[in-house]
Amino acid sequence: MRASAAGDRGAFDILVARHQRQVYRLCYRFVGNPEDASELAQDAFVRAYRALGRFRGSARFTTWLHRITVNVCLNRLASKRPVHEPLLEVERAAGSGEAADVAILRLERAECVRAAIVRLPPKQRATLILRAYHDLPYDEIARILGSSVGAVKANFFHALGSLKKSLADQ
Amino acid sequence: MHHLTDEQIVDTAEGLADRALSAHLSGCAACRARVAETRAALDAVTSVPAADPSPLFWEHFAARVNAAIDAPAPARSWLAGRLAWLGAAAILLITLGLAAARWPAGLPGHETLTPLATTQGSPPGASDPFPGTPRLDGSLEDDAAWAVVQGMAGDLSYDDVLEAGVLPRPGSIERAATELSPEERAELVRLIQDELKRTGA
Repeated sequence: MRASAAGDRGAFDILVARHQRQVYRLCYRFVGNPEDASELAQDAFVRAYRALGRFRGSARFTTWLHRITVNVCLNRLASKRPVHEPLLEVERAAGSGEAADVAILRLERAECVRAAIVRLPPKQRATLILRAYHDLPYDEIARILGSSVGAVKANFFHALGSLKKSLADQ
Repeated sequence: MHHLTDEQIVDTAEGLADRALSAHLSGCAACRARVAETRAALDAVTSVPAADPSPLFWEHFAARVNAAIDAPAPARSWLAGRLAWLGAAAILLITLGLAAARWPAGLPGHETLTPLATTQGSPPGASDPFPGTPRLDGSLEDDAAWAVVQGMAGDLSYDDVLEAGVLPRPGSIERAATELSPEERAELVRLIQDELKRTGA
């Protein structure tokens, strides 16, 4: 961390390698398409590099990085509505030995859930992703989103409610 | 015991319920149903696997990040520069206009300063939503454009505004002003002085 903050690119590369999957997945869950997710993940690391000198260490590095990533995603939502692109993973699933019809049904269901998540309001979406996929405790999510634990739990509850309704409508 | 709150429903769906909650659930079908629905939605969410890109993507990712860090900041076009200082000038002029509307007799501290007029139509002693702050005088309160802005913003909550991406950016005007070239600053001063002369403020 200190070496990265001092401008050591090799040290920063190690940080990138360590956290790139988490950051990319967060972005992908947020926007629902690989192109935007890749661009946003890159942008999050660029911002993190430029802000490393201001990282005081009062929060965990991952909390700080998640916060930057969520802000990058929220800023993108404010300027551009992401386009959800269904993934075509059937070939990959077929290769796993699963029956093709079962695989297609499972993938269709997954795509419905992904699409429903992308339609959630930004804060509910961020809360759901950080809790359900990144398994972060509520207090850490509250720090990332700059909100209270109660508000985070309420957002999570409403996000699940919206998803339930959205999936039932399909 | 009352029915479970939303937070308690979430806790229970995630398996974090304490004994008191469990005891209530055993006797309350309505809460059990809510927990079951929430748990089903949570299961649907967590069953969706991550969609990672190919291994090749990760091999090049750090290099792309480094290239983006090294890339020069996009140069501001001539038009963007002009728009930035014109925006700053417009904001300053609006601020001055509002100040002139609120202090028709002069600027604060001026010996001819008179107490601010109360809003037309408001009876003396009417409740002031912002006690301790000066009230707008009638000339602005009656302004049609101001009424439209008030009408549109009246029902907005702070969270709605944040979620819409209209983020408050304290200091952005100051930042824009610091980015002006000496020529642009001189032009801004000239514009403000012209406007002050024109309005007689």
